Amino acid sequence: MSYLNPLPGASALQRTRLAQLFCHWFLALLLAFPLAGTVAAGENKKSVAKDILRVGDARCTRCHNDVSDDEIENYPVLPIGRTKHGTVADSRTPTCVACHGESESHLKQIGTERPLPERPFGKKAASDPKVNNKACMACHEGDKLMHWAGSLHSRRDVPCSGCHQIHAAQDKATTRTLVVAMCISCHTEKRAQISRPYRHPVVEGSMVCIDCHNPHGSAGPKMMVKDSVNETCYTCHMDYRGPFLWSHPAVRQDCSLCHNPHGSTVSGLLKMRAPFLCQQCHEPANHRGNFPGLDNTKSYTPGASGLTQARACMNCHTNLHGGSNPGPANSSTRFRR
Amino acid sequence: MLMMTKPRSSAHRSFRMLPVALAVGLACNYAIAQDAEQRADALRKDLATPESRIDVGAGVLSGGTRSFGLYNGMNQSIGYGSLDISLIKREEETGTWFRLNGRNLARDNRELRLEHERQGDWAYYVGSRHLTRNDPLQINTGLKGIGTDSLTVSAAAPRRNIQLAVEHDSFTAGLKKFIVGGFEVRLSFKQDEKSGDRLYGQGTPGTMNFLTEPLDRVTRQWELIAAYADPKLQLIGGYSGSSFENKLPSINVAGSIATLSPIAAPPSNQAHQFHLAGGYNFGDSGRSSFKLSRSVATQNSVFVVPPALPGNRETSPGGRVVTTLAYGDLSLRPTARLDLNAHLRFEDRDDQSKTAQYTAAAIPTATTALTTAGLTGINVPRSLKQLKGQLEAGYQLEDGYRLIGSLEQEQVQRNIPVQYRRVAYRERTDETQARVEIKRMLSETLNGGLAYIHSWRGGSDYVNDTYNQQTNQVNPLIWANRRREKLRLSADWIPEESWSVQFRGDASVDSYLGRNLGPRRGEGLLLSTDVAYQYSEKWKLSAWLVQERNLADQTTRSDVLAGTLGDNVIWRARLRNTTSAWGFGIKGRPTGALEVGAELGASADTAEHGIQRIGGTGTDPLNPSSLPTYAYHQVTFKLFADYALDRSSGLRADLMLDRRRNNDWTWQNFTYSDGTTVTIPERQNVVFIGASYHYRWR
Repeated sequence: MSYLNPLPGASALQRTRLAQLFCHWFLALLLAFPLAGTVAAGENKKSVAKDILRVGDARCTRCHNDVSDDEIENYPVLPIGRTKHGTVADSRTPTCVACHGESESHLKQIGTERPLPERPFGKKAASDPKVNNKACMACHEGDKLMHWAGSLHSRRDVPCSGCHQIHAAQDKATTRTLVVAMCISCHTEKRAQISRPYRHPVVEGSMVCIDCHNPHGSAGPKMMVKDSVNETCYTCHMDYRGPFLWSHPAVRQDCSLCHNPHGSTVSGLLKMRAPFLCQQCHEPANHRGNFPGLDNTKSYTPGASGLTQARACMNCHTNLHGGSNPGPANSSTRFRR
Repeated sequence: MLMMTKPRSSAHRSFRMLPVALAVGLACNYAIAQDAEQRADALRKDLATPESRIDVGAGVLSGGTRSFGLYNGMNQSIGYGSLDISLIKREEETGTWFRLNGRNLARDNRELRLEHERQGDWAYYVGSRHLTRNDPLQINTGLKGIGTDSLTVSAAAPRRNIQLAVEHDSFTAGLKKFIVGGFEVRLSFKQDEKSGDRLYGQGTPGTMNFLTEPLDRVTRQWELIAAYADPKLQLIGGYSGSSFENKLPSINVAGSIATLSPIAAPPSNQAHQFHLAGGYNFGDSGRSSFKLSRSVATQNSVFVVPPALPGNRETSPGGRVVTTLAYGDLSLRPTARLDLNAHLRFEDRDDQSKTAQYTAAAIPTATTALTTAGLTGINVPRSLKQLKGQLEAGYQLEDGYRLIGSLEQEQVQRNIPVQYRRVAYRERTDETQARVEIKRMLSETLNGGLAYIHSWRGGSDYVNDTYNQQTNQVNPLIWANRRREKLRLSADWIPEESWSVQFRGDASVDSYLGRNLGPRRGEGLLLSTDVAYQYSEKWKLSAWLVQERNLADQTTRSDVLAGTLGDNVIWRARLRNTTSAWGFGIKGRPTGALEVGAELGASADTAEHGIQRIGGTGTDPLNPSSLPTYAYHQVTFKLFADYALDRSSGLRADLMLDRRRNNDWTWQNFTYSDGTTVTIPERQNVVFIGASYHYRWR
């Protein structure tokens, strides 16, 4: 039965004193832990205040360290260390203050609310995005951003941080699998277009917005990556570059006169079903003004109905992008062989 | 003695114990804190260290997959594997990266890319990609020789079902090296091989043949670039070359319409460009940039047949287009409230291709009209000059208003082909656009803008066509006189940190003026709303809605009384395209280890044709309003759950339901002359269930 008496042989007084001693120690420890915890926390603060990524970042990372504060976890900053900006060996990469400013008032909290950093980004950014954009352009001017200042995005006050997430391990704007979702969050009409039955492989991520557009501006129209719409299309569709013996003027001028590259319900990404599309330019002589209709006669005699089935006008005019057949005029110059 | 000792209070005893207990507690706490600190350090290091990841999985697809599998490599109801890899390593001492990214490696749309880079010093990469486009059409044909450039059309041949596909195999490689003093050189190369077959055709009134276009083509692009950058001046320039090689330059067709064989496939061609671009910063906020380039594109492929005109001994077209581009822009902020921007762009596509008479036809003289066929047999080079300039000013007013005004002028100049026309032609078009916009930061939570755009396009007189008077009645879309009015409203509302609402509305009207055939009016309306809501730290919701409507109102004439200029039957088409789409998404983390998400999206496209006779005296035997409305509907539901097994690994499950419906009548009741039929499934319902395992490491 000794297990019922922890101190066999001890008197009741001794047991009482032992119990008191135990209680005192327990109380003392109870008091000591928070106190010791405070001291230890102070030690923690000192150790947290070590630089994490690069020299001098402790002034920021002592708070913005992603692990000590739940709120901060919603806006993690340290994943920047996984990115090119966080590659310390590259002397060109910036410090925190290089982008966010010295932010003395933010560091020395006065009152209940902490003032924002000198240069906050994101939703709390300055109302004039050009001010913030300067921080980025200080390093990134030139190359693909050569024409940023005159670009439509810049002139419409799009901030760099509106697209780029500098602290994220994967920046949506530069990650091929994420960039489309980012672009269509503003260009909303494209969201439905890229899912239409005739489309480029955008949904699959095999072709993305930045393959054709340079969102930082370019010397071409519509911020195309090349100098013109056609030059951009030719990077993949060089088949239609020619120059052909027999040219189709609309094709030479601008592919987007007939095609909607973002998606269409008409085969070939056409803006409109033939013959309506063709009738927007061509004179109605002979069969060209015929009524479109569901007709299987294939006669195409003047005044008849039809022209709409299968490939419509392209049933005969197969080489509409241009042809290089020097054969008989009736068939060659009209893009039929 | 102990009994003699004055009894002390418990509190006193506790106080006496405190220093000792404090020391013990401190020691314990310090050890715990140190341990916590070490873990925090490790976590911080993890967060700041590049992470690699591999995903391995499998899934099953069932249902009608033709449209669903257009590009994703899943066009059959079978099981599929999945393998994605992202291997990233960085040497911290040198800033040297090694990246190996592979996506969809177990599928037909796989991509692999390897990069090795010492950041700020040198880099090189190689990559490859395979992509298959599976044509969703179901074709039943007796055509022989598919896959080759020698096809035989035969109505008697037994027909079978085929599905066409085009495969792309790409290879890319490149390197760059930073040189001291802000200089950098880059070299890149890309090759894309295209193979397979796609839908093609051959026709003459009364006979339409189904053909396939065999593809065996190689596209190559290469570039040598030198760049310089300092805080004031940046320059980039070099040489870009490209070539297109068609290994099957002609398609020979036997068995039908002998006069239309061979068909010339796109000819091999090449282009070379030298370019220089630069930018210069002046003052605190002034910048100017420019680009100059000169390209020469040539095409000298051997003709697939000799020229039809006896005596013409040309063997190739001698195609040559020289393109010159000059672009410049200037941005200034003369005061803190005023922004100015100006840009000017000039492009000259000078078609210097050789001209010759290739087919037998009389050449019109200065006094005679075109030939009775309207053809001369002489090829027509097409040159184009575009000059576009824009001035824009933005001024910050009081109370958060910002006023923007811009003026844009574009002139397009074309060469006039005297020999042959089939459309109304004008040498020059001019378009002027004025834009005024007012934006306001309505409050810290609401921003809005309203823009009005007016543009006017006119140009030189139409060239009179003396052969075909009907040409002189058409107002072609691409260079018709046009007045455009556009209104744009946008608003961003962030009522609180957890909410954001974005709205955009565009409305436009185009009026085509002048001639009575061709486009008359265009209308466009776009309304879209996006909502994002962070319900809690663990749950996010999003929803979006888009409505887009476009109208093209155009007229033409059915040439019942062939060759005359009588009224005939004038008819109109009011082509109305409507797109309605919406989506809803939810993503959350119900437990620390489990992340779930769902998306439901739907879209509906309709095309109405609104054909009606509006005038004329001729008699048309057919019902002109018989074209049915086209409709396409798609609903997609996606669900995923990702469960973290530990900090490094997890399991993911995916479910996707995709439903598509269409009434595409393009191929309905249509049979090619050889009996070939083409169909598109009206309904396609797809279910995909997949599971994968992912592992991350640093």
